[in-house]
Amino acid sequence: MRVPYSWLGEFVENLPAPDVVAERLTMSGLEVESIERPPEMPAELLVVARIEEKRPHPNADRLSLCTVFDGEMIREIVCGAQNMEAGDHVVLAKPGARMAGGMTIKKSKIRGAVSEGMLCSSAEIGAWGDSPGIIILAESAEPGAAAYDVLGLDDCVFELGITPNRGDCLSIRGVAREVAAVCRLSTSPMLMPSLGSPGATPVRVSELESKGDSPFEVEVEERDGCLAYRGIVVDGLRIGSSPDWMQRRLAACGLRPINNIVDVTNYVLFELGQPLHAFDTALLAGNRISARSAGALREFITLDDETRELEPSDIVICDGSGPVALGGVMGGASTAVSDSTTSIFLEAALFDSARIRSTARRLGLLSDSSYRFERGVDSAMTETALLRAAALIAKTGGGVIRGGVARAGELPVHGPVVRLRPERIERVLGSPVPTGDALAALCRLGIKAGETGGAIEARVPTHRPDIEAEIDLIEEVARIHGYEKFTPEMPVFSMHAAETPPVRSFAQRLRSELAAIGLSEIVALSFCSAEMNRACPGLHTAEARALKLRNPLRADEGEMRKSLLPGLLDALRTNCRNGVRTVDLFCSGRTMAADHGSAEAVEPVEIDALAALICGPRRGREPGLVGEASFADLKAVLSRVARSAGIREGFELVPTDKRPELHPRAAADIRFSGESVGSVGQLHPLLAETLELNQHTYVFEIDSRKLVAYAPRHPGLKQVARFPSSARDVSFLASEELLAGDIVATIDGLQEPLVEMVEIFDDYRGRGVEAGNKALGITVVYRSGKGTLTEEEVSAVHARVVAAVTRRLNISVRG
Amino acid sequence: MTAGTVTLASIERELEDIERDAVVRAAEAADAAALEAVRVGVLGKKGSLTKVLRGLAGLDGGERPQAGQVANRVKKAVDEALAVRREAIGTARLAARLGGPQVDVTLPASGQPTGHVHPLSVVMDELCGIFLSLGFSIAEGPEVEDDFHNFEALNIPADHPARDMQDTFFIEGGRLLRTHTSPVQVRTMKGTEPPLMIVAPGAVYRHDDDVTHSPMFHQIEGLMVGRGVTFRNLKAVLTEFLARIFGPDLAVKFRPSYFPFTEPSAEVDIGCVMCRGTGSGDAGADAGRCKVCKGTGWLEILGCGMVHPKVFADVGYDPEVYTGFAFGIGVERIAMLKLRIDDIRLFYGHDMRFLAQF
Repeated sequence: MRVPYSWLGEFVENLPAPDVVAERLTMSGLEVESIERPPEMPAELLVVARIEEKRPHPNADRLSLCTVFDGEMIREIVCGAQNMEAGDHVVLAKPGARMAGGMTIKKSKIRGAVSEGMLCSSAEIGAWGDSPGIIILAESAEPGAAAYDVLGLDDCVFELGITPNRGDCLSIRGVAREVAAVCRLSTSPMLMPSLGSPGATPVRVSELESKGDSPFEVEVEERDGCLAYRGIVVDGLRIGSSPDWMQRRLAACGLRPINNIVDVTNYVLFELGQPLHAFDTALLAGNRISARSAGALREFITLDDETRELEPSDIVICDGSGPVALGGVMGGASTAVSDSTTSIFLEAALFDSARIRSTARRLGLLSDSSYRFERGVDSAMTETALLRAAALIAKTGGGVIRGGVARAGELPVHGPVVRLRPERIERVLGSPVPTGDALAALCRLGIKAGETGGAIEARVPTHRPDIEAEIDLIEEVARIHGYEKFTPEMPVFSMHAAETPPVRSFAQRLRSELAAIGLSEIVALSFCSAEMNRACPGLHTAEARALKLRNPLRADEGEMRKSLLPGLLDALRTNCRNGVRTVDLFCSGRTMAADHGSAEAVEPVEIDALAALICGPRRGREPGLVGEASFADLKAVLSRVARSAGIREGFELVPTDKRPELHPRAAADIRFSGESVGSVGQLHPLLAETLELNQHTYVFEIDSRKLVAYAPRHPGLKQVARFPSSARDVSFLASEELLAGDIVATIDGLQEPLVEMVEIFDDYRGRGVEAGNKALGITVVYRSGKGTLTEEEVSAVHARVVAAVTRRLNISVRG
Repeated sequence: MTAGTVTLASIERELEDIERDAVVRAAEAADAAALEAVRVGVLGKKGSLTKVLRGLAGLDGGERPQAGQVANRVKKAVDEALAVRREAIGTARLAARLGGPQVDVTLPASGQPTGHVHPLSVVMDELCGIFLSLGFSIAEGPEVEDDFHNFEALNIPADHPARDMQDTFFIEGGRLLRTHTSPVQVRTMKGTEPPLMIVAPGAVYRHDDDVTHSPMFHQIEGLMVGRGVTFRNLKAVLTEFLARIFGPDLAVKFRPSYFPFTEPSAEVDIGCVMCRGTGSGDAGADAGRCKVCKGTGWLEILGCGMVHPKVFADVGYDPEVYTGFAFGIGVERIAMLKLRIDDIRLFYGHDMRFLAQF
């Protein structure tokens, strides 16, 4: 909220300097986000001047020559505006002055006539108002006086960040109360602002009381939505602009002046925090106004001429014919004040926060009024604001208040009584606050508090609906006493072991391992397009549906990712575009989908996934990059992952053609202990083509939680062999379809006690091997734990092994 | 004198011949093997010098010592010649072995160059590590949350203006993306009896996107609950944490604020890490004000407070028995300050030119 410093001064005496006020407010919880200061220009460069003579420019029809007196000397000025006459008091920028647009005024010749400065319009000096002509000041402005003072531009404006609990500070009066409390200023009796221009004699609330019956009758049908309703009539009005001082204040608060009625309702809203609405009496049907639920009413046209659909629980204000306002949110078009208005019915009501909020949110109508009702309006100000606004309108519009205030519903006069135990203060804050200090702190905030039976009893005033319980009072005491008074003290706790979830420590370990072998980590947003979710179903079950966002930021981020691959592919594309040739990446994070339930009852399943991608030429033993990434390169990364998870024997890879994102002939299911933990393979050529990526892109995605769940224990020590081993090589001739792993598995399956290890050393296709076939070179290492094997023993077992493999796999030994 | 007659003079002559011949041959030996042949030819069992020495027996007793002296001198000379040559051959051989081509030590390493851990992970691990060292355990929770855990249980009822503080992403079917890591507080408290001290790191989501806001970002939530946990404890733990992150002499201030689930609540400001709290920046730019703290000398760094009694009551803790504090830290914010990053979107842009700097 924007708060002009000078306005605060009307409520608090002896206001400290702006910087002091700002610092104190910030340190007590009302954050001053910025201070807007008057333009930094020497005051003598922008002054009031009187036009002595005005005559046409001899060489230009649109320009005129003015002779002005600036308080010290006579100057000749060339001026483009025509709205001034001799005798007018105007704003003169002398040579050297910097204008709002950044231009610096110089003495110059314009079309042959000397000009010793410039007469200013509002925009040129950053003042309120949008009139294109130059500013004409009141005659009371003395030539030579600083124009900023005269225009009220010498004010500072605070930009306050008001937290949602402090609705009471959404008014100048509320902020002033807080300033008085935190600056230790006297607050009592709090003055009401003057009726006239700032500085005039203050008028007390009691003096505003009007007499007699109101010409209108008001009633509240929906007590849950509208606690109280007040109205008053002002007659004999003439619509015009509001006084300068009011316009200036409104402009400083960021409001655009409209007319003397709307400006007053806004002015009092900002001043006292009570939203007000003016209806044109002539446009109201009958003389009975009621506040009720919309019920069966279907729609309503608000004063911005928009048709709004109503819900039965919306609060509407009705006259004899139907709804005339959306209670606490916005008035209606049919009864709005216009240039021909002569009489108004002015409303001040107290609406329920939650009801107003739900209506305002649903309709997207966030008005100054609904904003305040949502955060709580002070019932003590409701009638005061009504009377003050009526008086101001009558005064500025030349009208009279007709009759008294029409009333329905009771305005609460105070909030609950809350007990505060001094020992509880110490319990929460860590050190005691003397009861006297606590009482004084509450008192400064306008909370009546006294000591009874060793505890403080506080009567919560109507302006602090946020205070409901003891803890709320403790906070008030703490912040007024000063947070800095509670010195840091380390907690004393019994000793215990701090724990990290296994998946987290696994991911942490893995990050440094994968970085060590050349992969870089990316962090991708969890949003995904529907297309990419379809293309990359990730680790979720086949039935899993993507979670759809109801309010995505962008159309292509409408779902939550089911896989980490879209993020990795996006990163690959970005870096390829940047000319990076080798892109090896990994990513860990959550993927999510709805695995069960109907569309109505979404049961989300989140998976801690880990994915990697490699693409582009590799670095070999010689300098320079060669070739392309291969399945084996990514398998090396996968082995590292297995090793990190403590899985010694590695994963089992089973070919699969079921993954839509992977090449059907270059993909595998990753299994551990028979359970699938993820998949690995070459990116599907169609997907690579669609995304304009290199075909030789290899990816895997695994479920970290499943890996970590195995928590493999050490299998126990195997005897370290004492006798030498003996190795035999053999080359098998097989169809290309045969997996090398099948040979290894077959030999393992023989359970020959002398076989220590089987290794694949060659996969050859080409000259000497028939097309469609391949030669697989295998080394079998034999060893006995009982003694050195003889040549004959090794040959015998090797022959058995080779025979078994050829027989079982129906392959032959290459001659 | 006839041949075969052994005389002192003839032996002396013969010894001198042997010496002359051996010295010449040793000097000419091309390699270690040739030199060994020379040694064996002179000093070996059948060597020429050995033979002469055996012949000394034929001299008469008076002449033998003299001949012996000559023989010893010759043997010494031969040994010396052999040694000199042996060393020369060794040196030459080593020189030959070391004389190959110079290895170009500036050629690149083989194998893939090292990759990079993401700066957010680095910072996240550092922050969690500090809390672990202080005795906090790490807890995790779902990113797709329900209204109850994200709002209701944290004293943010429906139609409460505090919901405006957090623009929410909603999932079709009623769930939402958690707007903070605070729901983990609720989930942990519901499943554990006090005392407890946890931090909950993770991704959170807000409907927001600009230079300083990303729709997804990371937080670390902290919670300590027990008997006698106070606001002073909160100040001590967070001051210690901030000092470990930004350095021991860091200025820290606690300023009253509002969060629905803590009371009293505070924002914590630290002395600007860029201008060291002076508020001044490069002369000329930004009117000489520090760009990072906008000239204030202070930076808003985290929010915290004492757990609201309503939150305790909702999870079944007795607020009369237990007190506690909670805090929430923006990981990106800390990473940006520590690493001098000025656009949050760099974290999620995947650009290797950025990632490779960490």
